Order: sequence, then structure tokens, then C-alpha cells
Amino acid sequence: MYQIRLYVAGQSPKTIKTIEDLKRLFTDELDNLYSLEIINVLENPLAAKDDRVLATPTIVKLSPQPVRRIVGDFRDGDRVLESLGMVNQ
Amino acid sequence: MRNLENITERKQADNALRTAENNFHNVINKNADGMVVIDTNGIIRFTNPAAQVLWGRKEEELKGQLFGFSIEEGETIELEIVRRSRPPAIVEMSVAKIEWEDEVSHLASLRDITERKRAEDDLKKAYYELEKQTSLLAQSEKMSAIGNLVAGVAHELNNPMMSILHFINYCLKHTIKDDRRYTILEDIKKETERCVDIVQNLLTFSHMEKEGEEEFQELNCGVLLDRVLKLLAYRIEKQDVIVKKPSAQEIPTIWMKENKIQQVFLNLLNNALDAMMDSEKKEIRIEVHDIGEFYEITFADIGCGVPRKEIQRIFDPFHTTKPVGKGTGLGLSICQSIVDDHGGKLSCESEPGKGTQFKILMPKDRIIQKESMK
Amino acid sequence: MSKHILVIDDDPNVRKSFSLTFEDSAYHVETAKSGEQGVEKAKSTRFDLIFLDLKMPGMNGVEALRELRMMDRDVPIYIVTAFHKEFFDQLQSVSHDGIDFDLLQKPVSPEKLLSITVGILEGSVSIGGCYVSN
Repeated sequence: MYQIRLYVAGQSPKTIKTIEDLKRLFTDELDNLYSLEIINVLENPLAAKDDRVLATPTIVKLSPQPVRRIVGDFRDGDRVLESLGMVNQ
Repeated sequence: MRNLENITERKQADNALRTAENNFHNVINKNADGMVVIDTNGIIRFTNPAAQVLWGRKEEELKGQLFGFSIEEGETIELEIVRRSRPPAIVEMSVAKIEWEDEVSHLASLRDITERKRAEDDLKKAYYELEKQTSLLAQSEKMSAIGNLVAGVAHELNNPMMSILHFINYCLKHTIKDDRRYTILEDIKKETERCVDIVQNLLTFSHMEKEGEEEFQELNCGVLLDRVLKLLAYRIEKQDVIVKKPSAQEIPTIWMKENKIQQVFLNLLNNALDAMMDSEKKEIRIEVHDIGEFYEITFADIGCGVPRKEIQRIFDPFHTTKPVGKGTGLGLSICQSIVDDHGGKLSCESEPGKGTQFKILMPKDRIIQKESMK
Repeated sequence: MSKHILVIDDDPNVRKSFSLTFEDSAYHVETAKSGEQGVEKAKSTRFDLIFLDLKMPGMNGVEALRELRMMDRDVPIYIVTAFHKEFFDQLQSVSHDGIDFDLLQKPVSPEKLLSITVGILEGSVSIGGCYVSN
């Protein structure tokens, strides 16, 4: 069971699209074996600091270990999955 | 003729006497204050209706009974009269010496001041409460002002700290490792990173005293605990304190006001550190126990402990054992209010010379919280 | 063709920090000392990434953000600021207006700044999770 947290800034149309794209990416790759928590840093800066998140958007994979944290442009789905250690499921 | 005159005179005298008796009877019977005649043996010889009402007893029940209170002529004293099926009456008594049936006796006048006493007590309580709230408010405003100041300073430090970090990094990039200055530059980098950390921690706590109502949310205590431990890290390290805390799985997620519970943890840990300042060995043990519908979170230290006579008052506002200027004594009182507000209970156990343990009972269930707050 | 980064910050040392840190990188950094100057530069040059300070005299970060977005809807704009509720209040309204931006926490270490920038410009990058300055 993958536990994923996505940190974003606000809810602009572009951010919402990023969220939707990532949801689709994870569902395609992991079926329903994941939980995705969206955290808006604007609303909850402390949560970002607790998780050592320095920039948006950041994806933090909490489980399974090891914890992975990726930052930047998420348009390349394969790259995202690879960086999170999620390929070949 | 003479006899008739005598009879009329006697009749007039009788009438005058009877009227006088009636008058005095009325005065005594209708007197709002209780009147009790007590002989030299302390036995009640007479009570007026008001006195009977005070005791809640009939005249026959009181006559012949021991009065029971000590008689002090000329003194006004307060006493309490216990009675059946009613709360006791608080009474103000004045005593005068009189003659009763040709014997030296005492007349006790008893004024019912129960209502007045209750009003006085209520007023005293209200005043005490007002004093406490005013102090708490002043404290809170002071903390808020300090919080704002700290936040302002912290933010101002961000730019220069970032600049130093980047400049040092640049210097390191352009200095050969053999250069004596290389390690020094690395040290500068480390120290600056430390500054950044400290300022980050400060900011986390600078909004602890924010105005406005905080909301309840479901949060993991572990996160709060880690934040607080990080803030106190310098003190803990400097004083060589061993901190034992529960594993991540053992730490519960509960409904709470984040800043408030954070404040409680900070306060208790700070107190523990203070208590161990002069101890040889320093250890703080934080444990979590599952107790039915509550989680019990304990903070234990092996410091100087709290003397037995102090422990009753430890949560009283304004109670402090710290020297002037070092503590207001409001900390634990505030903590208790906060925990009460959450439907929980904060208690303290201590053995002087051995250590102190604070126990926070927090309800697992939101509903329980709401119930307790009624 | 190297990618172009614009840094808008009224603090000269912060501008210098960015310049020095990116000096040996594949990226070309231009700086602006005010919102107005930043907007001017953006008019004449197409940037691949803009770092924008929030608190500046004159045209502040939020105003500059709006102007920049009107000119270019796609360029990634990163507001560089302390992660503090107070500062975020003004950004909430900008977000509600549908204007897109991202956040970068200040202060950021040189190492993290480089990693994050690569992540933004080249595609997601894995980043360590120690304290801010590591």
C-alpha cells in the first residue's frame, strides 16, 4: 500500500490539472493500492515544514520505505514513477 | 366610694401593666433578630420566634438545652448554626448581661447573615477570577507581542542567512581542499545552517499565542512532540539530558488544538529541564498508555521533585517557586485549563529528591470531549 | 541554448546569491531589483523560470506576479518566501483568482536551490529530506 502526499500551492487551474494527472498516473500504475493526500501549503505551512518540503509541487512517498521526495516538473509520468521507485509493479 | 375608686385604680394599673407587657412581648416576638436568654450554666431559658426559626426548632425543643456557643460579653462574633434539612445559618452574635428571673444571665442577639456571607464569598470568588483572567490576558498579550517581535526578527534574518550560505558555498567551490581555509569555510557553513534551523524553530513557535479561536483537528502527537524537542534541542544537548520517547506507532492521533497542546508539551518539558538543572544524571521519559477511553501521556523527570506541601497548589495560578522575575506561576495553571478544555485531565505526582511525573489524560473520542465540556 | 532564469528581489545580496550559485551551471541568470524592473525585463526576454520575492517596496511580489502572468501564462513563477501563514494570506486571494504560481521556501541552501531548479527545468528530481539547509 503506497502512502503518498502531494504538496501544492493554492488551487489554480494548472495546479488542479497537475493533481488530476497524477491521480490518473497512480491509478493506472497502482490500481487502488495507494492513498493520496493533497496538502495546500498556503493553508498548512506547518505541515510542509514538518515534512521538510521546500518547494511546490513536491511529492512525498511515505511508504513503502524508503521515503522519497521529488520536486519539479511532473509532466513526464514515467520519470515521476521512476523517481518514486514505483516502476515494474 | 373609696373601694370603687381603689378598684378602678387597680384596674387601670392592671391594664397599664398588661399593655406594657403586650408591648414588650410584641417587640420581642416580632424582632427580626433572634434573642436567646442563657443562664450562668449555659442553658437556654428563653428564645424568641426569630431564634426558633434560626434553629428550625420549636420553643419547647430549645428551652432547657445547652446553648453550646461560648459567651463573650461585648464582643460580636460569627458562628454557624447547624440545622436539619437546611444548610447551616451563619450568624452574628452580640451578648449582653441581663437579669432573668432575678438571676444573672446573658442575652444573646443573633443576626442571620447567611445571605450576606454568601454574597461576600461570591464577590471574593468573582474578584479572584477577575484577577486571574486579567493576569492571564496580560500574560497572553505580552506573549503575543513577544511572538510578533520574534517573528519579525526571524523573518529579517532569512535574507542575510541565505546570502551567507550561498557566499560560503561559492567560496568553498573556489577553494582547494588543501587550503587551510577550506575547513574553516566548512565550519562557517555548518554554523550558518545551525542558525537557519534555530530561526525556523523560533518561527514555528512564534504563532503560538495568536489571537482568535483555534479549531480542533485530528493530529498526531508525535509531530508536536518532535517540534517541541527540536526547539529545546540546544538545552537538552548542552545539559546532557537523555530523552526517552515512545515509538511512532505508540504515539496517538487525537483531536486537539494544535498550538495549545504544543504549548502544554513545551511547558512540561521546560519544567522537567528546570527541575534537573542541578541533577547529576538527567533523564526525561515520555510514555503513552492506552487507558480505556483515554490516552495517558506522561512526562517524567528525575529532578528535584516537588515538596509535599507544594504539590496541592502546583496548578494554582500565580503559584511559583521560582525567584522573582523568573516565572509567573501561570504556566501549569494555563496547561491545566488547556487540558480541561480538551475534556482531559492534567495531574502531577512527585517524590522530592527522586523526580516528578506529569500525566495528561486525553479523551480518544471527540464525543467524550464534547460531553466533558458541557 | 541555455535556459534563462529571472530573479526578482530587492535585496542585492539575495540577487548575488542566486547569481553565484548558478554561475557554473547550465543556466543563465538575470536579476532585477524591483517588481517594475522585473516586469520590464520579462517584456524583452523570454524566461524559462522566474524567482520572485514577496516583500518588496514599490510593486510588491503579488502585483508583480499578476503583471507577469498577464504577459505569460505558462512560465513557472516561484514565489520565494518564508513559509508563514501571515505571508500566505495575500497569496490566497491571488490563487483564488486562478493565477498559477509555486512556492520556494526562503532561506534555501545552494544545494537545494540547484536541485529544485533542475527539477523544474528538466523534469522531476529526487531531493533529500534533511533540515532546510542541507
